[in-house]
Amino acid sequence: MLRRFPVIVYALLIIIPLIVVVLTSMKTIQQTFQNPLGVPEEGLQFENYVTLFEESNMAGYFMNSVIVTLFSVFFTLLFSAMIAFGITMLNNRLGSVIFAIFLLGMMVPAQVSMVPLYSLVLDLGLTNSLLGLILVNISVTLPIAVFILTGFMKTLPKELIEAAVIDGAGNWKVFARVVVPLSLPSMSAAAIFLSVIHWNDLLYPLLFVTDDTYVTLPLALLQFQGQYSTNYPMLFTGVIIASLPMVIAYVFLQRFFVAGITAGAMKG
Amino acid sequence: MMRTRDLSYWLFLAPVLLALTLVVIVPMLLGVYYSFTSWNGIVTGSFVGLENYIALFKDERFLASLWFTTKFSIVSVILINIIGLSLALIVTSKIKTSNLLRTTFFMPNLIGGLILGFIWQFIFVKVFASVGQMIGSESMQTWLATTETGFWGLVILMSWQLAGYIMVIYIAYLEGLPKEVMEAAQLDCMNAFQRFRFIVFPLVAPAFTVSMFLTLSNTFKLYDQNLSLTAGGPYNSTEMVAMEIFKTAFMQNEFAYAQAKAVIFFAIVAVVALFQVYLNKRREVEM
Repeated sequence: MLRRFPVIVYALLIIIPLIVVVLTSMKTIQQTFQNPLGVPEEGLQFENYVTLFEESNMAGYFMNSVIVTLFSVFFTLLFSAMIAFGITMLNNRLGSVIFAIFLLGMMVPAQVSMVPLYSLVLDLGLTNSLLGLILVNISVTLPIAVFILTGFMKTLPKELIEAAVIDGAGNWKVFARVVVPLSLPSMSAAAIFLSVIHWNDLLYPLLFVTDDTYVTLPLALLQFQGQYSTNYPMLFTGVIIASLPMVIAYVFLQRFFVAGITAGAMKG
Repeated sequence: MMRTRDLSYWLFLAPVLLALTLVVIVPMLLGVYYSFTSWNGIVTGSFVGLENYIALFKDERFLASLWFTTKFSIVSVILINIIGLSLALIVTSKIKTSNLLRTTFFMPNLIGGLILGFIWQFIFVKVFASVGQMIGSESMQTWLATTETGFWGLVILMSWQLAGYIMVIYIAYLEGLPKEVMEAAQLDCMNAFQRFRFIVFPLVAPAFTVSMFLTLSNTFKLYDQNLSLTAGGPYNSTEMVAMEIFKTAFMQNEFAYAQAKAVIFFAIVAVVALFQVYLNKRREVEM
């Protein structure tokens, strides 16, 4: 009991703010101002959700986020698996050099490449497009994905690959039929890791998107804050809609989430 | 035979190497070059040598943000690691609800930084104020309105988010500890504190290296949470480096100057991170 007490207090510290958000999204502004913590006597209502979808392009923002996240994750995984395979199979100094280049990419803070990247995307005419966001997302998260997958592929038994080669499999076949299926656990962990990053990314939409048609959820929320400055119920309705997919996925795929989000950390 | 095989691996590497070079490496190198010019986003500008760098060391707003970020990072890194390690120690010591607790502690990491900022802003401003009114405390009603509460607000938010994440890393290392060693220590009549100090602590040293690196880079580069919780206010006093650079670039349109700041920022991050890893690596013991 003595041991459990502090952790239970801490668990409440985590849960209560989240419950407050859910409750607030079901209250009116007035009810929130009167009592920011409690449940109003009149009961809770879902009006804010209806209003938000009617008044703003919420469904559109949601779809944009889904598209950007799905494509970014898929292509980052595909390319990083290819790269990791290349590095693992080269297995010489050249492979290490390439790996080091990717590690370097992981170290660079977004602020350093932000301005040149902005002018590059502008020159390419890719501002205000989901394609631009996806391309940038893929490139900036590649290093970490390569890092996770290379670490895993290096632990694969060499005999399996050699056996496939002796059986006459070419590189592509070895990659698609042997290495990728064996790497699925670490690929799914990486996929979750990447989804969380891309789903919540604010910086790149903030830099590259001004047209409402291409706004993703985090950017939409930032604009809501300006628009509904004191309207917390409305803002939190948006917050719930933006966070729900990840939370639901987490409840079902918990083990992968924890593995995925810490995968990048554990190899170092 | 080997030659052509090697060549075909390049086909696997080529598309991404190209993309990475284009989007990460080239902008970085270009960025370093730009920092020596007077580029403002429209006109490429001329080469001005070290002018931007000289200016930024006299730029009080930049230096203030750097100092604020440093203070914030030190306090947060210590707090997050203490909380994270304590949680990990408790959760791994056979208690019934440990799985449910782990799930809960990890939850904040799924939610974007921007959103976490909104949530805590509401708590600090509205909930604290109404609690303050109830118990008649003046100081509870001014959260985020002063530099100090803004600072602690950010620290609390970051600890709340990252402690559960760091906990998971410590758990992974704690569960990897050999049982025999722990049992031997128990047989040698070590108490819980001694076991922690002389056995667990040295053996989980690699976890410290990793956790410190992660918390440092997360706190030092903080942007989203800073933007949504305090937006730098009051009077830019809680503005962190990442936000200061963003504002210099995209609100004042001083691209080259922002770039010089970013280069210095990167240099600091790299030096601190490497130094920290070096220090911690020395402490690690081989099993």
